[in-house]
Amino acid sequence: MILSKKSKLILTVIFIVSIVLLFIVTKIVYAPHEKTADVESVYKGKASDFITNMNIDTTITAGIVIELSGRVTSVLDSTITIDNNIFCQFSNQPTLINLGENVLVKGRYIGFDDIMGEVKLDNCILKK
Amino acid sequence: MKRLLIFVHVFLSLGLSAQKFYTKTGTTEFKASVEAFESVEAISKSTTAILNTENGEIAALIFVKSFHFDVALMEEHFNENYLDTKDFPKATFKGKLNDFDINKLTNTWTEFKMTGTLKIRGIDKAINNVTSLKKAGDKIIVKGLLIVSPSDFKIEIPSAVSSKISNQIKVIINYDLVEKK
Repeated sequence: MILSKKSKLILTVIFIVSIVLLFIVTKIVYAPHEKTADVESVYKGKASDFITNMNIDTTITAGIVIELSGRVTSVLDSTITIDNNIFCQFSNQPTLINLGENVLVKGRYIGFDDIMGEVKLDNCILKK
Repeated sequence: MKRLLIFVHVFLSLGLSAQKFYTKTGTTEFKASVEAFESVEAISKSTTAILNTENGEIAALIFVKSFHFDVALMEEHFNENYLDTKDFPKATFKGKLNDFDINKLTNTWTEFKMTGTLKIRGIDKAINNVTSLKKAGDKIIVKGLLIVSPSDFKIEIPSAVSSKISNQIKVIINYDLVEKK
């Protein structure tokens, strides 16, 4: 079968458009997860005030990224607890953090743990 | 001497009755994949679980948001369209390991019948299952497998994707519990 010049041109355009569409859809569907460092913090404040504020501030919902500062009261593997009631889970083992040290942590607020009586953050990074 | 023995007995009893083992970083996985289609599975490493070794009562709490999918868009759909995380941020389990006795635990797996209630999207489902426990040093390791269905929790799967999501979802738990002091 011999295709006319016009048909060849149409087929080529359809092929190129399909490839471009496939590329765009793949980019959207397989977009990577947002990194904590790249997400703007919805809430910034002292760890000791957070439990009070989370019941008042309507912008505090599960999944938002927040920044809290406070004193480290527990260190275990890749987790720390700040001011006895903010539990922070790091994606990667953080650099050495000592008990009693004052830190600023940025992480994703996932909720209040009724069993342990503390706030849980994951995907945490140490800001200072 | 008798008084001293009574004191020691009471002291030990009080200590034992408060004995609990827990984790805040337990692993809970679910697998809802169907063969020949893209895998639908996620993992949470933020499960809180606590076991009362005096009576075998066990409780667990998972923040649904903590489930991590390889594909970010799938995670977004899971939270917004299926689990309604905004309205139901937690999944919980409260139950009991029947005939639990910490002295039965060794460094090999021991099976216990586990009964309780799993709550997802605010809907309760009775669980009657077998869970395995073993000792590993100072820790108690808990592992188990639950099979649940989306319909148990009134999760509606659109017909366009229903063939790609299993109706028998495997929930795999793996918790390393340490003593709560």
